[in-house]
Amino acid sequence: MTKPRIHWVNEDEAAGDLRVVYEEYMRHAGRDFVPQILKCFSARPDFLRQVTEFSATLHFSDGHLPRRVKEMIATYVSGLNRCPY
Amino acid sequence: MQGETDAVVEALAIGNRDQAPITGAERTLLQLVETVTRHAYRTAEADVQAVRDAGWTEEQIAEAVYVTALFAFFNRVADAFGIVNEGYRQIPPFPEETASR
Repeated sequence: MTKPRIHWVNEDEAAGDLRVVYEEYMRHAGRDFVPQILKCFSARPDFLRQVTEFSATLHFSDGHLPRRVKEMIATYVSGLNRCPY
Repeated sequence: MQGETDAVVEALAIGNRDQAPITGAERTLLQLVETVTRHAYRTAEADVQAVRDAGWTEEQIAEAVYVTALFAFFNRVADAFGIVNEGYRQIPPFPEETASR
């Protein structure tokens, strides 16, 4: 389990609003964990909820661009940014 | 990448647009994605016109910019926190990494 450079709250430590947002995410995604990228936003559960919402709205759905092209863009941008995540 | 061949993922994951087996229209779109990623302030009318000429609609171009910026957002946060791939897929090493080994 990666130890982040900046503290985040793990699933088992989450309480209050954060626990609600984590559980909503896991239920919606059908997962029993919260991806690290989302835990980066645990300091602001209100913002984390908005991040998951706009990601779903923009990226994880067809829009003007097919999902496949959006995934290509996402992979390419991460490659250009030398971001291993 | 959902629904995409490994060759495309492998090339794009290390920022290699030219090697990816994609269509000419997709390659042109990714040219704009690179400009917006590396130096958005240099985006010129010609860059956008090239994408239109490749057949993409105005709304598709706008959405491509949104997705590009969205992933810059995630990349910056992921790198600042120092998180690495959770094993969703094994990303091949970046060229300079293999060169420096």
